[in-house]
Amino acid sequence: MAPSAMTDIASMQLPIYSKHPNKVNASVLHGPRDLRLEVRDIEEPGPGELQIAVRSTGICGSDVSYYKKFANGDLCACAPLSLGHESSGTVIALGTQVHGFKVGDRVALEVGVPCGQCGICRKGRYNLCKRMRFRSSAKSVPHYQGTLQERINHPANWCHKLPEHVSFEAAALLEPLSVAIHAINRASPAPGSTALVIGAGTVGLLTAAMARQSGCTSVTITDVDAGRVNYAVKKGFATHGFVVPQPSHTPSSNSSIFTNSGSSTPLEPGAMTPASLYPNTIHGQLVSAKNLASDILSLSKLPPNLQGDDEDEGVDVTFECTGKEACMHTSLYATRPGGKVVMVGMGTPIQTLPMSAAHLREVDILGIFRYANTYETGVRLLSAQGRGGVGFAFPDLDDMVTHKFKGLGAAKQAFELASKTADEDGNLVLKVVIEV
Amino acid sequence: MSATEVKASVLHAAGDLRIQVRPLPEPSADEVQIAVQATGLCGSDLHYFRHFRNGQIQVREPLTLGHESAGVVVAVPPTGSPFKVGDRVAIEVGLPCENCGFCREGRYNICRGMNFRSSAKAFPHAQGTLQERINHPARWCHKLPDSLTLEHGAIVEPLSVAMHAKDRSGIKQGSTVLVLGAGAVGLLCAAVCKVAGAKTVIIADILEDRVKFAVENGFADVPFTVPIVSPRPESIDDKLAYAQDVAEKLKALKVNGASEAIGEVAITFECTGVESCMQTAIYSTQPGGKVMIIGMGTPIQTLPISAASLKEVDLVGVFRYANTYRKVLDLLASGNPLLPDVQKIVTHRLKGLNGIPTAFDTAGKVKDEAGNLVIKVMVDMTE
Repeated sequence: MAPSAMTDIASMQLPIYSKHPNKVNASVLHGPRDLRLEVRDIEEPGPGELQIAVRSTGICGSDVSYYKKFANGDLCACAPLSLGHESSGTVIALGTQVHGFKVGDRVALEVGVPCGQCGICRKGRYNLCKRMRFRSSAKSVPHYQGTLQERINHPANWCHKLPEHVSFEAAALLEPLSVAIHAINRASPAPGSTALVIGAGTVGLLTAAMARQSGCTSVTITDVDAGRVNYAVKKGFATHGFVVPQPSHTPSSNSSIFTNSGSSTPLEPGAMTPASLYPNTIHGQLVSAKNLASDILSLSKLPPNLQGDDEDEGVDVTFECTGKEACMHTSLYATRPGGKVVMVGMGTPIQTLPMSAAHLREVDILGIFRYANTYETGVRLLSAQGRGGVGFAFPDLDDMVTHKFKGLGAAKQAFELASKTADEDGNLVLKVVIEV
Repeated sequence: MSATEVKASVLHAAGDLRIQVRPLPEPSADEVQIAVQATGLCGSDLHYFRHFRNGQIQVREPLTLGHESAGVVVAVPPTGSPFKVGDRVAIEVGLPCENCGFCREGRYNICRGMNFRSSAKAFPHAQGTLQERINHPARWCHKLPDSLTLEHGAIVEPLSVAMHAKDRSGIKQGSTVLVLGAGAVGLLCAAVCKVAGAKTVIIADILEDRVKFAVENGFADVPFTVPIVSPRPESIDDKLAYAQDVAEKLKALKVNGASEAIGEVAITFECTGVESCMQTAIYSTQPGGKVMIIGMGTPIQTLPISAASLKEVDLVGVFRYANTYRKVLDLLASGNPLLPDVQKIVTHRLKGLNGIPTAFDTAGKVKDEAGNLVIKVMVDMTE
């Protein structure tokens, strides 16, 4: 069971009027690390809206970035902003012109509301709508407030009903799961494909699981954190795991390799490459990346008697989930000619890349920006869990929630923890959730 | 019967082209012997000629260049052939292994065992087509329709690159397209997009004469001369600012008589290989669009990659072509009114093996001594 941190602001008196229908408590960010608990007015839900009591909100990297810097990449917040966008809750009131919902319904929130009328919305890629309003993002002005509030009014069309057995936490994870589903949709790996996932955070884990779900027979996940790689393989998110040596470590520290196939092959110790002599030049970096790609690929090689001449050409698709330039290098070298590199999530905006490795081998580079038309798929996936039978069993999402905090007043501690990969006791931090 | 002797143009070192005599055996059972009649020169031929290398590929033995060719069948094996003497053929010079995974899934252009005439990648090198005669597998020769000239047959090669790029782009009827680079490949990419039903094709180049040529001859609709800044931007921030500025100017372009600017395009064909053009390509393409990477240039580039990924603008590589020769020949013979007269790209013709050094010299220039545009230089080997 995940540890639950009781807020020590329990001693602080919550305003009595938090129970008033038109006032709610909200966690509001005013500047870097300046998170305040405030009271806000809330209207009755308007036509087409539901009023949702938010029950569970996961914290993601972009929330942490806003928390620390009041900005996310180039996007700066210009007014107080409630964070949170990975949420689920209960319907407590209905606006007019709402169909298919009743008070008490448990829903997951799809917090990006596109215009629905422009060319790109009509073509089904509403994640790219230029008039998209996404809760907790500073992109639109006035900012569309995030879900770290007791209650919000949200368009019913963007709320998704949940089956009974799906917890509020798992439902909150439908948001990062949507990113993974969208990544798989865009990559559309053929059944029997091989995949590589770089980065074993929440998005990497869910992407790896989705790759398996969609029929990839081998999914290798890599990370610099051995705990995360171990978790990924043990829980079945990936079929093979590879711990990448930290750039600051000497080459003599071995990469450890985890597979659930039962055998592990230790690397040659002390392998020095010429790149280690000049690691700071782009050429040095690329040589390192090539070597790393080769090491990673050797993990999921078929047994020698089954190997064709085509071995070591690369995986069919690589999902790059860290955003780091060096990982893009590895991705390009680890992918076979005609394959795809999928850039999941926001990363380093300007990168120096070996483009000829992509161009001359027809390795396509696909970007991912959030998701479209994924929530229903996610709900179906969660509904299918526990039905048993043969085939890949999607890992338990509740298990990914490693830390829970109770109450909006605990938000600050939640954010502080979410920016780390391990807690004070050395336990893995995967997904931090705030329960209200 | 003994082998004949043929004369060939052979590169021995950078700039060192010699005419040599080589033995040529009878064509084997699956080959035909072709008298090469028309050969266009391309950027990679030029690169080998100037540097004895192409990118990271080093020439390791004397090499005949040329790969954009058409000719006449002069001998067939006695056991039989799909061709007869006198047939005119376009020559598809890339010979894949036909056995590996890529070949079997129809992407033979990325076959690891590809032997491409005039490329120094494989060893021994597959000799190019700047020779009097070659033996070539019959299955990689394509009969020319009667209405097409041998020059058309030679143009099929670069037109195949354009066709393959268009296929990989998934271009839809009514799309807006941007082509960066108005050399031969850029012009041909623009042309295939028009045929595919693009509503508007913008063509951009640093040389105004090239974009004028493109629009005047029906290859594209809207010309754009890329402004050069002096001194050149040095820091990455300055470079990206320049690329963004070019993109803004492109987005502001209007089709003749229209009131609305074209805005971001659906697909950009990057035909220069220049880093700043890749950057501009990313900025100019609409969300959900594609940048087709055709121009071979700087192998390592610094790009505003999140500007692409946050818009889901995909970067799609195009390497040569596969399964294009027949449909390109059919297109050329079809009389499709949307297709411009592609033979117009042949601006200079040199005669015979002796004309080859001048051909390379000319091909290396943007304009000839008289100030005329150099687009495609053809070596004419007809008697």
